[in-house]
Amino acid sequence: MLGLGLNRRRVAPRLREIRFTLRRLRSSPLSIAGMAIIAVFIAIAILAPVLAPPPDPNRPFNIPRDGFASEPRPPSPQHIFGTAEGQYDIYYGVIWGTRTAFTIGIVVVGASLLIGIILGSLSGYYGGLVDNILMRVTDVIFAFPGLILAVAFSVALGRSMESVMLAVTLVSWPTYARILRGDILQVKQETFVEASKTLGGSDYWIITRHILPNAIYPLFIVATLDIGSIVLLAAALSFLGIGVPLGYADWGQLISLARNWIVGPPNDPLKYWHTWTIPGLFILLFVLGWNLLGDAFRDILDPKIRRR
Amino acid sequence: MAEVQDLTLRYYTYEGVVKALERVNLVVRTGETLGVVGETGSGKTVTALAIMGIVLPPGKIEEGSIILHHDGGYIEVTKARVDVLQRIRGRLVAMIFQEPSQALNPVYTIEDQIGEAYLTHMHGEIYTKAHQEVERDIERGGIKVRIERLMLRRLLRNPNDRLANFLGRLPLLGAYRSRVKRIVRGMVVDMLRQMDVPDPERVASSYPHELSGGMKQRAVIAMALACRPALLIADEPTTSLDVTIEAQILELIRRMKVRYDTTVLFITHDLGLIAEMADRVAVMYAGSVVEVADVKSIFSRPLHPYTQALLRAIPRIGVRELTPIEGTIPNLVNPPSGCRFHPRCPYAFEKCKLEQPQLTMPEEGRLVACHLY
Amino acid sequence: MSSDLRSYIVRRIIMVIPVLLGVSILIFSVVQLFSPVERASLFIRSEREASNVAGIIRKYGLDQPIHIQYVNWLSEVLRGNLGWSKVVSRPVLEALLTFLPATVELTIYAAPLTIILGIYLGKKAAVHKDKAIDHLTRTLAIVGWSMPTFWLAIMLLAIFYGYTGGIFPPDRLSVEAAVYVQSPQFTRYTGINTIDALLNGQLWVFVDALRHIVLPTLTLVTVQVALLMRVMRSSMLEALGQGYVLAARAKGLDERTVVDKHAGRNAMIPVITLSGLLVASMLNGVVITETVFNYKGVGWWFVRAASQLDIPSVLGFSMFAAVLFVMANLIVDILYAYIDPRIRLT
Repeated sequence: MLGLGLNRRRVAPRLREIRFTLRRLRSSPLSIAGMAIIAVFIAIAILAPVLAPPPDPNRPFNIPRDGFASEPRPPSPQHIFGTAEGQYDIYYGVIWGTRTAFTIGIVVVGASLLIGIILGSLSGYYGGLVDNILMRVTDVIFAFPGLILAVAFSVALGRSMESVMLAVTLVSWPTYARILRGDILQVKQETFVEASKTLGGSDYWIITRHILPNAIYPLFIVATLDIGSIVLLAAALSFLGIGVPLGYADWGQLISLARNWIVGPPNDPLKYWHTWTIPGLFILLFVLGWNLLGDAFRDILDPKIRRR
Repeated sequence: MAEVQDLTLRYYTYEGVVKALERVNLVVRTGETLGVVGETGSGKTVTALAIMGIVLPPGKIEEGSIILHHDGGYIEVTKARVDVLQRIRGRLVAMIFQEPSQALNPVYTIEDQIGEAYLTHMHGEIYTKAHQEVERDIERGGIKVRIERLMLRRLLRNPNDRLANFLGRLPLLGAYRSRVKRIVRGMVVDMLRQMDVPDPERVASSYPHELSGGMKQRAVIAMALACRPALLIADEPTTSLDVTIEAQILELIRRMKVRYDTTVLFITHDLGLIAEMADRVAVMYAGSVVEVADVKSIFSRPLHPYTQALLRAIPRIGVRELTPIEGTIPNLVNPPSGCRFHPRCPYAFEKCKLEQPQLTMPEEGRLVACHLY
Repeated sequence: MSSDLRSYIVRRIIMVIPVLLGVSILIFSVVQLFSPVERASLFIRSEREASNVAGIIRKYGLDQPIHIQYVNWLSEVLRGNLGWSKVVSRPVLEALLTFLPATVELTIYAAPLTIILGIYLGKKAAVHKDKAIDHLTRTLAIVGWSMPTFWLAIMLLAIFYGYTGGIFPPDRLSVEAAVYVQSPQFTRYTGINTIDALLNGQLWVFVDALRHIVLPTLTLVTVQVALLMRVMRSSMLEALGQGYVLAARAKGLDERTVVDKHAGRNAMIPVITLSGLLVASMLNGVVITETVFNYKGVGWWFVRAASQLDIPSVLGFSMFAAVLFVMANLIVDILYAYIDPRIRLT
């Protein structure tokens, strides 16, 4: 470090680092863009009942249908974004679809984290047979391409939003388990854990008070930023016709409704553009927001490029 | 041999402009070993790299000049063209680094990496030798040897000949390559033997991670001295080695200096090594040279307060207390005004805060940058 | 080949066996989620057998304890009996082999393009860090990575097929070409249309097949290049920051040698590991791309099977995908050990 002396105030190192991280976050255009995008989506999700009042308050995720004709209708005053095949209102679908996206993202990431942390920490701390078994299990899950395994699980579990979430969770938890296990193995070697043991701390105590706080902090960040890819995977499942039931407000579903209408009549081939462009843009922007934020975080946290 | 005049170098980083070197003046006389002492951050490595024309971004040379003398002519490094610099690096000036494991590429063998130095700077001799061998074999061999001769002739005229290099990758047409490789390997093994490397054949074929620290450093030194450079810059060459290996390496450097008549610029923070290796000493602090003298005078009668403090801080037998230097190294983004040492100097007075002292000659053969003189 | 490389290869091959075993166990567990009648469909080999479900249940012991069922099932699988695919009315293994050439054809074009483009762009972006080309490629990469594959496929189809009036159509062949290819005048050597067309000397079929494959290839390449490029860029940046790069410059090597020979080889190491993952990514991409473009390869078959709850096909393809991926990783690891000698000691 080229002569950066100690003429800063005496602030606790970790706090100083967090402040530095936040400062860098605020000044990086990438992260600002990412945060802005996500903020907009959060607003949409929260304001869904206001932006698109559900005709049946008990079933807000059922997209209202204006008739049963199959041909999609273009944007109009009654249907701001037009209608999809079967006359489902696209505007309603994308607004409430935002809520679906967040639900799926948060639930799946939360569940994967929970399973991953528990199994990963058991595996990392105890080692031996427990560790071996877990590694084999994760190896096996990793042996399958993600989408394909998720499809297989979904087919077995039946067609519903819960099965989609379960399938995606089953595919995602091993990554977090592995990361946490690695972190724990690293932290285990640190001397203060030895010291704690000599003072007679119990296993559980050591794991929760000493090892986990250090290992979890980066994992949380990685996992939160995975929400984008999780939603992408879930959308792919919906698009393939696996997952949420027909008429449920979900971005992937809306695009799957557009499959027969990609190319219009010869004189106006892009006639039904609204059926696939609009929901697709929502997905793209949502995932982009998370990825931008994720990239910015990764650049900022990487100790080698941090202070360039 | 080398003159650095008023060299000023700044790094433009996210944290601010780091004033790494401020009017550095240094002279390396031909045939001597000049020791450069200083703490981390004093600018010694940066100066060494600058002498080789290597300025890592985001750095920029603001002012000053670096002149290398050779064969009756000279090169102005700060203004030289890239291809000129590439020709002198490894040939006229060579450098060995602190961490030998860092300096060696893990995916190539030792013979590949040392051989590279030979092929870059001594391709003429190598191809000539190969050509001579081929001429001898020309009656016995068949078409293969003729093709080799063809390729080698092209390479003799122009080592970067695209045709030869491209076709050389093919099985038959590339026959000359194994011959060249064999010759280079011979040179590498010879060089390693001179480095006192036991079993040089095996070491040459090894990868860096298969060798011990001392062995790696010998390989790095072999790489640097391969083309007989006139100036060898050694940047903390023994800091990462065990004490016993350190002694061997230092002895090696001394011997090589005599054998190849090399001028040595020895950079370290360890005054003990300076006492052992150097003829003259330059002391650097916070980006400038503060004192220059012959090694005896530096130790017996240091003039600059910083040098005095450094010597006082060395642990001595019989003395119970350690006397560290008050304060810490300055922040080079916002260095102290005037003389950069003044916040820590026991003799500082008004002028020291206002004006940075220049190097003056208070006595014959000695330079100091201090307002006391 | 050096001995440590040889021993590493042997060790690595041995490690594959428990994973494959685990894969079979996982698939088998998924099978258990279904009813005995549904499970019976996994053992059916022909139309005739399909009508005698009770007989199948008895014959393969589907009402027996789990470990016996597993052994029965596994021995059937190893004999090539993966069940009956109801969506295409033939045995699963046969269906797989029928649709495989189409996917292979797609891969032949998509994979090299992805690798070449990804490495080239990644290197350029790293070497010219923070300049225009770096920002441009990084932007394209992050957008490409955030885009749903199926959406990209749809957009390409709409624009380059719909809007241009049919220059790059979906499906594998146009109607005339398809008819010709089935006729006795055309000999099928590989099942890969472009190659077969050339081997038969029918240039128009070759062009026709090529036109149909452009958009699916483009879709696959875009999404994967995005990822590959980013990894290459960051590993290149890391390599360029290493001490041996400085030492190489200090030796007087020209910039190109320093970048390509010294930094480049080290930068390729993470990229090689990634290319194993790219196989999985390609399989995922193929599933979606073939569906959108109605391109009848294994991905298309898989999705048809999934939407119609054709369990044997779904599970059969999943196993195939897993085995393929495991093998790909094996090859990648061996290649890695070849390039980076340090790894051979693990």
